[in-house]
Amino acid sequence: MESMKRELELQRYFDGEMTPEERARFEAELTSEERQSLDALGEMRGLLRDALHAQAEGVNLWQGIEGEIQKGRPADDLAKARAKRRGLGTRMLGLATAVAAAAAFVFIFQSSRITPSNECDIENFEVEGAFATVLKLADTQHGGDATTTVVWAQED
Amino acid sequence: MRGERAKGDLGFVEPAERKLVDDARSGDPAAFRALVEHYQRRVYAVALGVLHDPDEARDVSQEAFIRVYRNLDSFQGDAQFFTWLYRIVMNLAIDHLRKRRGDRIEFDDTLAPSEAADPGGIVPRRLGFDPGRALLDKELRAQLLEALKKLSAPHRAVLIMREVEGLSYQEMADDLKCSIGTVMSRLFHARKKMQSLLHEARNIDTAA
Repeated sequence: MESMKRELELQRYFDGEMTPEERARFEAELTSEERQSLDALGEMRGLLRDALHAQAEGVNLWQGIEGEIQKGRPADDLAKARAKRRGLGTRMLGLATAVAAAAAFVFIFQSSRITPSNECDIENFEVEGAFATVLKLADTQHGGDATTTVVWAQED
Repeated sequence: MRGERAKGDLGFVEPAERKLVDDARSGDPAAFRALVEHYQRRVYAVALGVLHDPDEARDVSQEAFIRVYRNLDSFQGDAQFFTWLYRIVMNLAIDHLRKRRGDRIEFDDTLAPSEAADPGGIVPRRLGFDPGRALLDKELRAQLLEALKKLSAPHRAVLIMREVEGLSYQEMADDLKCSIGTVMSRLFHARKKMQSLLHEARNIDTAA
C-alpha cells in the first residue's frame, strides 16, 4: 500500500502536479531506482508523442472540410432562412389579399343594395408592407343595427 | 495547476490566431483553412491516439473542424483556440468509442484482469531506443501503436491527454467527468501496461 502511494507520488512529480514545496521535499527523497523510473517515463512520453505526430505527418483534412464550409455557418443559414420566410410571408400575404379581395367583391356584389353608410368606421393599417382597409358596413339586409366588417387588403 | 502543454506544435502568436479566427467568423474561408492547416496534424494525432483507426480518426478530426467552424460565433476570446478545438475532438473521439459496435467502453475504474494482477509499479528501466532514430524507425512506431491499441479505451484516453497534449489532472477529470483520483489511477495503470507491452515487444524483437 505504501509502495503504491509512493508510485502515485512519483507520477504526480513526473506530471508536474506537485506544489513547489512538495516537489522540493519529494526530490530530496528520490532514490536512484525512482530516478530511473522517471527516465523510463520520460522516454515513453517522448516516443509516444513522436510516434503519433509521425503518423499524423502529411495528413490533409481540408478537402473533407471545404465542402461543408461552403454550405456556410448557421448564422448564414439563419439569414437565408429569414429571407426565405420573408419571401414565403409575402407570397402568403398576396394569396390572403387575393382571397380577401375576392370575398369582399362577392359580398359587395351580392349586397349591391348595401353601401357604406356615413356612420362606417374606416381604418387603414399595414402588415409587413401590405396595405389594408377596414370597412364597417351597415347590414341593411338584416336590418336593425346589424353591421358587417370587410377587410380589404392590397399588395404594394 | 495546469499541465505542461505539448511543445511539439506551438500555436500561432496569439494576435495572428485571433485575426484568423475573426476573419473566419466573418466568412473568410482562407482564414479558416489556415487554422485547419496549422492544427490538423495535432488534432489528427489526438483522434488517432484515442480511436486507433486512421479512417475514423480522419472523420472525427474533420467533424471537429466543421463543428468549430459552425460555432465560431460562440467562441470566447478569452480561451485558446486550440484548447476549444481539442475539447471538441476529444469529446467526439470518446463518443465515437462509446458508439463503436462490439467495443464495450465503460469509463469506470474496473481493471482488466491482466492489468489488475500485476502489483508492480512503473518499470525503472528505459526501453533504450535512440530518440534521434525513433522518428525514422517505422518498426518502433508500429510497436508503440500496437501497444497503445491493446490498452483499454479509458487508459488510452488518459495517456493521450497527458502524454501527447499535456493536460493537467484537473483538466482530464473535467473532460472525462471523473475524479482526479480516477485520472491518477487510470494513468498509472495505463503507463504500467504500456511499458510492459513495449518491453515485451522489444524482447521478442531482440530474441527473433
